[in-house]
Amino acid sequence: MTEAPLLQARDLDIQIADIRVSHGLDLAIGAGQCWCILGRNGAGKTTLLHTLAGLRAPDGGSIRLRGETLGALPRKRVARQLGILFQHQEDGFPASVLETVLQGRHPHLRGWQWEGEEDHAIARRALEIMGVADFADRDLHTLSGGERQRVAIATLLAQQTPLLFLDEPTNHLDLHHRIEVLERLREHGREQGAALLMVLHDINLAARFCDHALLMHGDARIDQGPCESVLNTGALETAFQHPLVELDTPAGRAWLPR
Amino acid sequence: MTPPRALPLFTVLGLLAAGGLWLSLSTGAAPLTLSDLFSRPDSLEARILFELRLPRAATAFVTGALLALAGAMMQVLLRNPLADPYVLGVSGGASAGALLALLAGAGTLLLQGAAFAGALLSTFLVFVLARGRGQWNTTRLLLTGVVLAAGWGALISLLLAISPAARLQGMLFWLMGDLGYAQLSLGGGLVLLAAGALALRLAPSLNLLAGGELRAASLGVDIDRLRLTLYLLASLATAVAVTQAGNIGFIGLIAPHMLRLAGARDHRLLIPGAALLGGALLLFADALARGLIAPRQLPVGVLTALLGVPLFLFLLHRGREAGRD
Repeated sequence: MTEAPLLQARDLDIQIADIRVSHGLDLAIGAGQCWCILGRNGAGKTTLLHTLAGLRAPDGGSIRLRGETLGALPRKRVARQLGILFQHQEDGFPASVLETVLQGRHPHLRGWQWEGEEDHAIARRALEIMGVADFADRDLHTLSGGERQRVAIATLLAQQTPLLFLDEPTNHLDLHHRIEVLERLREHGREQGAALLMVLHDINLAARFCDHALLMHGDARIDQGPCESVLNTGALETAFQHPLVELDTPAGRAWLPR
Repeated sequence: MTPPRALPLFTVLGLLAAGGLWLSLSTGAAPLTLSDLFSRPDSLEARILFELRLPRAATAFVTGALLALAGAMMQVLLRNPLADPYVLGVSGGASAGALLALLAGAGTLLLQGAAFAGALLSTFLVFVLARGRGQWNTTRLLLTGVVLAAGWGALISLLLAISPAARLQGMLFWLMGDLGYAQLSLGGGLVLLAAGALALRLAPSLNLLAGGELRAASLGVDIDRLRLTLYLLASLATAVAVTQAGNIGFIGLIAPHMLRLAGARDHRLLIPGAALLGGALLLFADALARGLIAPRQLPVGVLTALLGVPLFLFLLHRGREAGRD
C-alpha cells in the first residue's frame, strides 16, 4: 500500500529559548502504527509532541496532516483528525465525568448544538474501555489521580480521531492499570486503524507496546525507526546518560539501570 | 438532545423574572391598580406606569442581564471564579467619565455619553497594554486590568475630594449604582440581544476554555480568537450596563455562580440562565430600593449586595452539604 501517511514532518526545526529540540527531522506516521517518544527530562519530548499537534509553531520545516499543511487548518478540523492527552490535567470549573468525556465530541458538533444519542453512546463506550463507566455521574473532583487520568484518556477516545497523541499516558496509574490502559489503547488503534504517538518514561513499556520509537538525545539528535533497531542498549545509555543492563525475559526485552 | 434540567430551570427563572417585573411595576409612591390603568388610559396612573416605571423596570432587567452575562464571560476568560464585570477596570473608566460629567453639572445624556466613553477608553487601554510586545495571556490581562482599575479608583477619589458638597450625593449614588437616570432606550436591549446571542453561540467553546486553554485548543477551539471575542463582548456589555445605571455591584459576580450551584454548569444553560437571573435580581433589588423607605429611594447597588450576600452564602452552604453526600 502506498497510502499517504497520516502525519508527515519535513525538515522540522524546533527550538525553545536556545535549546535545540530537533534539527531537520523527517518523520512519517502511518495508520495503525504505535510510536513512542523516549528521552531524558528536558530533552523536549512534550515540545515535540505539541509541535506535531499544531499547538506550537515549528521554527522551521513543515508538518502535513493527511497531506494538508497543519498550521493553515482551522483548529476544529485538526481536532477531528488529531487528539491529544496532556501531561497535566488542569482543574477547571466543576464538571461530572460524563460531561467531561462528552467534551471530546466537541469537534464533531456545530455551533450551539447539544450532544445527541450517538455522542452519548460514544462517550459511554469510551468510559467502558477505560474501565471508569461506573463513575459517569460522579464529580471529577471526587476521583483519584489515576481515575482522572483514565477519564482524560476516555475523553481522547471519544474524540474518535485517527491520530492519538499521549503525553505520559501512564501518569498516576498503578502497575496493573499501566498495562491495561496501554493494551486497550493499542487494541483501539488496531481496530480503528488509528496511529498512536506517546511520550513514555518507561523504556520497557515502550518496547513492549510500541512498534516504532523516537529516541531523543537532548541535543537535537533523534533516532527513529522500528523499536528493534532504535531501542538498543548503547543508544539508550547515551540518551539517558545512565549505564543499563539488558535482560531477555518471558515478557520481552527489558532494561534495568545498573 | 437538551438535558432534562433545562425546562424546570428556565420555568423557574422565567417566573422569577415575571415576579420581579410585577413587583417593580407595582412598587412606588403612588399605588396603582390594574383596573385604573385600563379604564382610563390617559390617567396620571397610566402615565406613571408607562413613562416612569416601565422604562425603569426595562432598564433594570437589561442592566442586570448584561452584568450577569459579562460576569459569566469574564469568569471563563480569566479562568477565575472571583472575576466580575468590573475586574478589568471598565467600570472605573466609566465612573471617572461620569463623575467628570456630574462635576461639570451635565445632563443625563452627556453623563451617559461620558460614562460610555470612559468605559471604552479603559477597554482600549487594557487591550493595548496587556498585549504589549508579547503574547496576550490571562495573567497579563488580569494584572493590567487590576492595575488600571486601581488607577481609576485613585482618580475617582480625587474627583470626589475636589467636588463641591452639593454634587457629592449624586456622585455617590452613581458610584453605588442608580437606576434613577433610566430612560427607555432601545440601544441597551439590542446590545443585550446581540451579546446574548453571540455568547450563546460561544457557549460550547466556553465549556472547553473553562477546562484549560491547551485542552480547549486540542478540542478544536481557536483560543486567541475566542479570548479576544470574550474580552470585547464582556467589556461592551459592562460598558452599556454601567452607562445605564452606574456601578451596580455583585450581580455580575453572583448570578453565574448561583446557577452553577443550582447545577447549570454547562454554559449552554448558564449563559441564558445567568442573563435571566441577573435581570430578575436587579428588578427585585430596584423594587425594594424604591419601596423600603418610600418615598425616599436607596441606591439599588446597596440592595443588590444586601440581597445577594445572604442568598449566595445560603446556596454555597447548601451546595457544600450536597457535595458531602
